[in-house]
Amino acid sequence: MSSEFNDAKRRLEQDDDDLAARHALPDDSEAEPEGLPEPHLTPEEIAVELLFRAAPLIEASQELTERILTVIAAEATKQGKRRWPRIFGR
Amino acid sequence: MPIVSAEREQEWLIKARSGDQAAFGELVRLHQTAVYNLAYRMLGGRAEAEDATQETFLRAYSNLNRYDMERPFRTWLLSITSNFAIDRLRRRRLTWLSIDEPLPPRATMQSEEVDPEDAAIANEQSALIQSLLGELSPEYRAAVILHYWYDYAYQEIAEILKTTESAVKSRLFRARQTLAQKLAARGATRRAAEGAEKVEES
Repeated sequence: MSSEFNDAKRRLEQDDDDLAARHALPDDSEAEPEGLPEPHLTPEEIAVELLFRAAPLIEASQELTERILTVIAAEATKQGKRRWPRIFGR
Repeated sequence: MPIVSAEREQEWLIKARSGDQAAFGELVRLHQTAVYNLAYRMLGGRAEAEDATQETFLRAYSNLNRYDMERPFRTWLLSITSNFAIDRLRRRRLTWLSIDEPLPPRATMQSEEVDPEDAAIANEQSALIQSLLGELSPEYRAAVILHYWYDYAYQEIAEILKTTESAVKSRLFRARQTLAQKLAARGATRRAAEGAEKVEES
């Protein structure tokens, strides 16, 4: 394992929130697993952490913005048409 | 994503509520990447993610009078997106995502000039992530995305997903276990960790 990998492993094991999460499993809406898990991350779990934390946000395109604004404008027109009869009591 | 002060955003919200379309347009520009990313990560495809993003803003626009100004606007939007995506996935009855599904061209590119090797690794990582997310139930998937990409606290995720904080903790714990097992089953543990480091460095 690389030193970065080991550093990440140490950081994650020291994460109080994470450890708290592991010990806060009982919940009304979820089936409770048997027993508490050991408070160490496996290499696979560390790999998941590294993989997901390094992933970037996928950016929306300018074309999508234009499309949304067009739809909103059409909706605004539709809402406007619906309001007029009410305003004049029709 | 653009950075705008809370006061400015509040100003746009007030104007948008009184029917100012231009102000709502600013809100779209401000939050569309956050909404689109959640939709894409949830649904796994560009066309569906675009539809979900459009639907989110349309619903937000139509229900602006119901929005509680005390709550962060982004949280409200992401709540609409996650509801929509979860509903879609349920109706789709969880067809597994294919690792071969084409990724959007800008999915992982941060700049115009990217080293081909880095780009290949980034795309491989991105495909692996989407494939792994596809192994989770819609509710677990939403919690994982909000946790890793948005850095929300458990309480905020609970608010978005309309569940309890302990349910979120439980979902995240189990999701990580599932993801780790799936990663190991693909023999991709080392590759994922090293690839993630390489992507972070670049």
